[in-house]
Amino acid sequence: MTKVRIENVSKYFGEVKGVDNADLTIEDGEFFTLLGPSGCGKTTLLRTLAGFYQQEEGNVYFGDQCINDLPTYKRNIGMVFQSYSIFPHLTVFENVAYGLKARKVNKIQIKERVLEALRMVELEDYQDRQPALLSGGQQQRIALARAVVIHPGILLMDEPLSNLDAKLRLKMRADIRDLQKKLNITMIYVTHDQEEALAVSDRIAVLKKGRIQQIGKPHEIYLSPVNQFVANFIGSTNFLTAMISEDVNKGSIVTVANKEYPIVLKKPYSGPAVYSVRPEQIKIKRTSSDGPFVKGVIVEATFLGEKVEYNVQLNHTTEIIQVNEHAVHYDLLMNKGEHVELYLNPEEAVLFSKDGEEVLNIHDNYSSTVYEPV
Amino acid sequence: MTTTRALSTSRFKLRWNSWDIITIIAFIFIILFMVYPLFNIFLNSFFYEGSFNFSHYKDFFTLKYYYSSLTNSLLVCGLATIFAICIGFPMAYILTRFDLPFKKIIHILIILTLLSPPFIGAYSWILILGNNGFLTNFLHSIGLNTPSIYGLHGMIWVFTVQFYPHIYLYVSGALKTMDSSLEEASESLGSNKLRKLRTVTLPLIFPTLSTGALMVFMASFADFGTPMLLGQGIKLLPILAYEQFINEMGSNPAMASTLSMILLSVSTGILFLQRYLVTRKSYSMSSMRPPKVIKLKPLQKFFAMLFVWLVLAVSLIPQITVITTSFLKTNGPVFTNQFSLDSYREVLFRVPQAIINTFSYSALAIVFMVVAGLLLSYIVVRRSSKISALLDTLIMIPYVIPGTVLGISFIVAFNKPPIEITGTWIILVIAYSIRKLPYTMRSSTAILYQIDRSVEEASISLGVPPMKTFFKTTAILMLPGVLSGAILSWVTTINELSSTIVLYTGATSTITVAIYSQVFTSSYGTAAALASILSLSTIASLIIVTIISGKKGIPI
Repeated sequence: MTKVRIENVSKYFGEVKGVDNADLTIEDGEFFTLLGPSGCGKTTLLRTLAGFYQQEEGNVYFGDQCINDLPTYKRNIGMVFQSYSIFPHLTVFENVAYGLKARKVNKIQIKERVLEALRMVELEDYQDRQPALLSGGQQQRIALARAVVIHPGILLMDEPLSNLDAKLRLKMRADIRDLQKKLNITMIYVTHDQEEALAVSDRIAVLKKGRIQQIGKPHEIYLSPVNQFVANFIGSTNFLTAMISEDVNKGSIVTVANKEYPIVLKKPYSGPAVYSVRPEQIKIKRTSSDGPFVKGVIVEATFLGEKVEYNVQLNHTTEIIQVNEHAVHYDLLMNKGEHVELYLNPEEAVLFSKDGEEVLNIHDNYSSTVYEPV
Repeated sequence: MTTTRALSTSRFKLRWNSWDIITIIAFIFIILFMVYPLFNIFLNSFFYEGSFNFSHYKDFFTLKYYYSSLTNSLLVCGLATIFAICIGFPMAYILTRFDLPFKKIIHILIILTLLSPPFIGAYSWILILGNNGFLTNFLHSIGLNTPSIYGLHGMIWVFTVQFYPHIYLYVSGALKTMDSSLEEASESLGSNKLRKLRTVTLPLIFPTLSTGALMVFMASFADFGTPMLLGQGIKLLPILAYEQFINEMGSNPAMASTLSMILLSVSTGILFLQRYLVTRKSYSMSSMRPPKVIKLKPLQKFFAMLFVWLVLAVSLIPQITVITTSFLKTNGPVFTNQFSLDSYREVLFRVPQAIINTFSYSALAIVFMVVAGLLLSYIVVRRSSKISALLDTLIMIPYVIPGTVLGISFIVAFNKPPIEITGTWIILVIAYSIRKLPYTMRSSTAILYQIDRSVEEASISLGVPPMKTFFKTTAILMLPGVLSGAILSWVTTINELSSTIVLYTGATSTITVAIYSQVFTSSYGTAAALASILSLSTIASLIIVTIISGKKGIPI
């Protein structure tokens, strides 16, 4: 249970910055996720915290202690790896006891603590097995027990679920989340799976090319992305080309899909922009009428169980918009070829500058703090 | 900010110090015991009566006495290689592609042939086809005059029979990993069987076939015992180098150095030639579907079996002869028909020291090789850098150093202070370690590539320092691979003759040297007993390696 302070940390690989000036604080007992596509620097940052990499710049504190010069084996961390990294020559019990032996804990206590840890991951019946004979999910549980049994200050996980099959992944992530809350341990979790990140995290940092783009609670990141990259990476969204203009009478206006909507800007702006609206934020209906509605034709309708996904070709542009609708009454669902009209929901849409780097409007979603490196 | 950087670099050094020290020690050892001796004979080869010139090289290429040894060597080894391909390739093809019984046993017996020392083969062929051989006498009695085994053709015969397994092993490996769809594609395009073999199969396995051929050539080129026993006046290059060095009537170390350099250049040259031929012709094949095993018609099957068993019989005859004759009563150089343990009794009384020496020196060398294999392969694989790549290359150089050359270079380098170890057991153990380390290294690195790096990281993260982590995790996981390589090193070490013959003194004689001198004094009984001891140790070691590698699935 340790607060982690990462202060202007940069890690270079030759000339390339693996991590570029990361600056953040992870609270005691927080489930903190580093999220991003491969090569974004999330694993590099995690391994820097673990001490497998040494940062060239900046400081890392566990609690009040600066651990820059503390080798990995003295950092009191628990770590879970993508490839399980179980010791194949030791039994399940010996695997979990490994860190305790290194800490010279006495035998009776080792036995007690190992069994308790194995109980937590529901593997107490497997203590004498050879791990090679166990399934991937079971091996990852052993790794989890092995990491938490030493009562680490922080728990680091590097894509722990990506080698498991989809169903097991869902169960394991819930279990990991529960365990973390039960033990009230500070967790730093690396994943490229945005859905997983949203599901388990207290807060998420989204990374791209070594730089942290945004830090926030899952809903903040989802509903109020700070740039086009984050909006695109988290969930799915529609990006429409838009034009912002100033009107003396009406204030700021955005033109998207041949319709004009009034908007509130953070600061004066006019010119091309990107209009981002999520599939479920768009309203879709059959009847046609005038008003703020955009007309189009359904070019594809996909039934996905709990929802239906429509791809709608807009009438006046070449753009295709994805719209989701809850599939409550199957009879009421629409089919391919039907003419529809859409409400593009400018209240909830996020407008980005043309380069995608900046949010222009004030929208009805949660406003989040923009990440500004110090 | 700058202080952080300074601190972090200092810590980085501290953390990896132990590996750096091991690297430095390895370099010192290699420079001292390989680079320095080789460089020494290189210099030596240019000195004639105290001055620097090329007269030894000039002599070599102008005097028939010298250059004929090179042409003899090239002739013998070249032909042996060609014949080995003629036997090894069909053996591999038949055993991988056709459905025959006892494949596994045949495979093990072929490997066994390879691992027994060639000079024992030469010696038992003398027993069979020598001037007083069983077969010679038998054929004589029915009025047939056979050519003697002595001479170049005898060497070619022994090398072929001894080394075709290299071709067999490499080619069958390649044939097994060749995707069957390639050959099927060729057939579907209208190729008949021969055309398919010529246009698809052969080009695809050429790289591996040439590696096998290289092994045959190198092994026969460097072999000392066979040409020594079968030469009778006709000299191959290693023999000439040895005689120039050891000659009782005034040895000529400088000429021996020159000959060593020529030996070394030829084997290096052949290696590069093979690499050059292969570079533009190597294909990476991933076998999605291993080739199907073809069922043969009874008559075809009969001939295939006949061929395989005939080759196998010929290659096992030396072993069987040696072991059988070791239990026969001897009358001088002549075996009688009576069973007796006299030869063994004689061996135990006359040369017990040689037996003890062989096993204790080899054991010491193996311990060294296992430790070095573990640590150095770790440096090469996990801490790869330009320096570790250089280390890797240096460690592999002994592959191309003929034993005689290494022996001569050791004596030239270490018969005077600061390092004066000529005539001691230490020089033998070091020579063995240097020569056979490549085997252990190769299997150690192979297994290390299969071990996930994060196993170590897991251990470190759990609070165990890096060096201790290595011994608690990776080293243990590597052990089966290292040991299977070490056992191969062990087998070739106990059978080592070519450098021992140069380096031994009376007190440090080994079994192989004893066999060699027993054969020369025509004490065939004791030689057979000693050879049997070696053969049985080899078989036992081979069984152990099969068990170890079978259990852990490590390819040898």
